[in-house]
Amino acid sequence: MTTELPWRVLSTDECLDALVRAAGEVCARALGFGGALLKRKRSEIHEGLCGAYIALVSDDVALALGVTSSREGCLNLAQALLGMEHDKRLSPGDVADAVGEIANILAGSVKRLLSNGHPSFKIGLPIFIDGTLYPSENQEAAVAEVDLGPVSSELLVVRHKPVRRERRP
Amino acid sequence: MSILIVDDSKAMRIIVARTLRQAGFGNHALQEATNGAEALAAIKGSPPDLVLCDWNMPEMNGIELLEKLRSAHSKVKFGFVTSEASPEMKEKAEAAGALFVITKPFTAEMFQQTLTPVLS
Repeated sequence: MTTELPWRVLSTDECLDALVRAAGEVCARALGFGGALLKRKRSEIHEGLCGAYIALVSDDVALALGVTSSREGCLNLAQALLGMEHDKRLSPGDVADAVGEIANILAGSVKRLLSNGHPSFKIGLPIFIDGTLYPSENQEAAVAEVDLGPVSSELLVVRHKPVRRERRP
Repeated sequence: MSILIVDDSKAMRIIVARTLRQAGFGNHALQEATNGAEALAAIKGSPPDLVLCDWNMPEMNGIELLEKLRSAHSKVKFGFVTSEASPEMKEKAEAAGALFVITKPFTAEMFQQTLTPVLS
């Protein structure tokens, strides 16, 4: 028997919309860009990109959020976060740290945007991966192709496929 | 005057330092620590005028650092700079003795508004 939860279930699209909004805030406040431009949404993850992923978990929702780009794009995002010129090279570790911090900030903003009427999320540890994320059979992904200022990027939400909950008779 | 920046992310330490300068606090000596344990040792050795601390860190997190400082009767001015900003966390921070919680992403204006009354 299942019982209805006192809060409403968040849709994956709702989570992705929050992530896109969060990216706009990060662009304006942290990266020195005008904003984030949403180009299109899809459900398939683009292979060959790298980026940072971070968990956002509450009692009934477990999300993985991601911000990805090409290697050069990740370098540009790191340079923007650190206020560096494009001719300044960064070590892979520094790029990972910076893009991981972008993911961390995004997670904080998404948490705030989604927390109204929903239990408090906890933010996980950001990790940077140079490789493709493959959701499992029980997971679904939502992807937003965005321009974070001049940097072509993708924002991802991965979660378990939602289970329909029924009220106890 | 000195400000201690505590964050396990090198990128974030750079950004906080830059934002402090943009907010007009560039005349302060800026020191860094990579986790709470390192910060505790630094504060015991030479107390800064202000600690700006992340929440989640290895070795010793921010709230643990603050609780240890207050247990040792340290009155060092302390605030959090964090992506975590739920009402519960803000209450916990204030209860432990933090003067403020600045939420990421932050701006120089936010630093100016929050830190000016603390440092004046």
